[in-house]
Amino acid sequence: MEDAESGAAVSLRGLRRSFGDVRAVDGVDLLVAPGELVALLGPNGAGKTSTMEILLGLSAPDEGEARLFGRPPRRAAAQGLVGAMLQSGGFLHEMTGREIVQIMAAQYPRPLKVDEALRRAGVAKEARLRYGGLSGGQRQRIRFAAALVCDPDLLVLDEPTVAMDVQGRQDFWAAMREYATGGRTVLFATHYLAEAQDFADRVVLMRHGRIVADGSVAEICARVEGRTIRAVLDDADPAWLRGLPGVSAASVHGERVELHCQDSDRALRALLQRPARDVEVSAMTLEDAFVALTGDSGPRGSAGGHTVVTAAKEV
Amino acid sequence: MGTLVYTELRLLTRSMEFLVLAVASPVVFFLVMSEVFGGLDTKGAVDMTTYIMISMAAFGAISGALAIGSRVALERQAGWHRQLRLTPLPGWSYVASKVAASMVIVLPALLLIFLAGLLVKGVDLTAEQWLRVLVASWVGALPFAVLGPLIGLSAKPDAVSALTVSAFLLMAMFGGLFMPVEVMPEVMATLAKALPSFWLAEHARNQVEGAPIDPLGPAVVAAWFAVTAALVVVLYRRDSQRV
Repeated sequence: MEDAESGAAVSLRGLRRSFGDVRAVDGVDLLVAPGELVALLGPNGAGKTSTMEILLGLSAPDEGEARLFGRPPRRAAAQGLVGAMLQSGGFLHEMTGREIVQIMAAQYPRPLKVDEALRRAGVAKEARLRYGGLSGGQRQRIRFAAALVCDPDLLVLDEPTVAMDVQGRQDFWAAMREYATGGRTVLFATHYLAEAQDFADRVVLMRHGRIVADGSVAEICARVEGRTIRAVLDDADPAWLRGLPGVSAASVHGERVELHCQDSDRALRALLQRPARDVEVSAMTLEDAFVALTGDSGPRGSAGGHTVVTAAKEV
Repeated sequence: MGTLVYTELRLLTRSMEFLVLAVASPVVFFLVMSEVFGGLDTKGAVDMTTYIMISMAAFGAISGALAIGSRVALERQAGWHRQLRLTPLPGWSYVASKVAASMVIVLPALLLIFLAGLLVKGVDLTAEQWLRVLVASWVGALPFAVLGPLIGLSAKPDAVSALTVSAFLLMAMFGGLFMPVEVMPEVMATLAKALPSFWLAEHARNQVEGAPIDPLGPAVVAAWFAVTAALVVVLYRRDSQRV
């Protein structure tokens, strides 16, 4: 890896993409080295799917450039280097799982055996059934087999475990680990923070089309200074809570209050002016960091560390 | 692309509605219509039963080809074309596979009607005439194999089947497949000669009569094919940028 950029599995530079007035992707720079397992996190509408579509060559950016293994996305796809599971990509219900994987396999120069791909995805038995008759989790695994069958160096997965039950998710990630041990690269978007925590070596947090944090889970948690205060408070007013000294973000669920604080001592003193009970102060979890960094009241992605400072690149 | 066409055909054989619509219904129309009108005199070289047989074969070829091509709309809705776009498959080959599958499925649709003509209605043609009629009808279906994907790419999924049915009914009606152009008012007869549906049947009738082919026919068919194919390419390009 003498040259990080040309050797990168994924290289995104200054990507922008708007749909009408909505800036879905608003200046994304990202380098993923071969062998990395990267989770892309962010609330709905953060731009994860749009970013993935650009890096797969399904849509063109308004500005910027995406490269996979130093090639334009379409060429990387044509060489069978990329497998993808799309959120909106679908298969025809009348086809059997096996037919779907067969069709995909037939397009590639050096595919896996169809049976091998089905086995790795854990759907060898269900593959003779029609896709339309399968459960949500089984469909996802057929889709995984279809993404896997080209034996790609890079897997791009958009919410791969949506519609899977707990067991299904565990099996899925076990299959993914097996795949990734060969030094292959995985980039996945997910809503389940636990999946990012358990599986990814690196987490990229997006908000409003930008990357607001990028690093290991520990680094991301450390990025959000301070602690979380949880308490029970009657008639809690979110605006008042946010205005408290030392508080960076606040959320209210019924009478339960959650405060993300840079300075929990000051925040606590202020909070206790009201009859708050069951008070609990804890260090940041990934979930807290996620809320703090991607919530609308959270800090902007401009602090140091691994954060890509996209705002500074704006002309 | 071979796997794509092959799977497409296998899927179609599983779809009862499709087989009934495209393959069986023209045969039923043929048997009913030839029963009712078969005795009439066409005042031409082709007797009425043969005339109706050729018209209904054309009708079957058109409805079959359009039905397959317009499936593009439903497959787009399902996201299938996006999935294929992730593969090395060149973009055009998805549409091309639809055209190929349409042309393949048109053959049994034609054969079934000709078989009904031969076995049930006793249509009496030489082997060479049968072959020429078959080839003329098959080649004449080409513009429709391209028109199907055009409908599929341009219409919204819920409008597609209505549009497909209107397209083949209009093509059949104004192309003289339901009533011969000879009995049409002059304006309609002139319009018919601008439609590929008329020439599909007319070229097949020419093969029975041994009549020379009017050069206008191949020109009209080629023009429809070229314009439709060009529109498909334009729409496909626009579509690939949008997804």
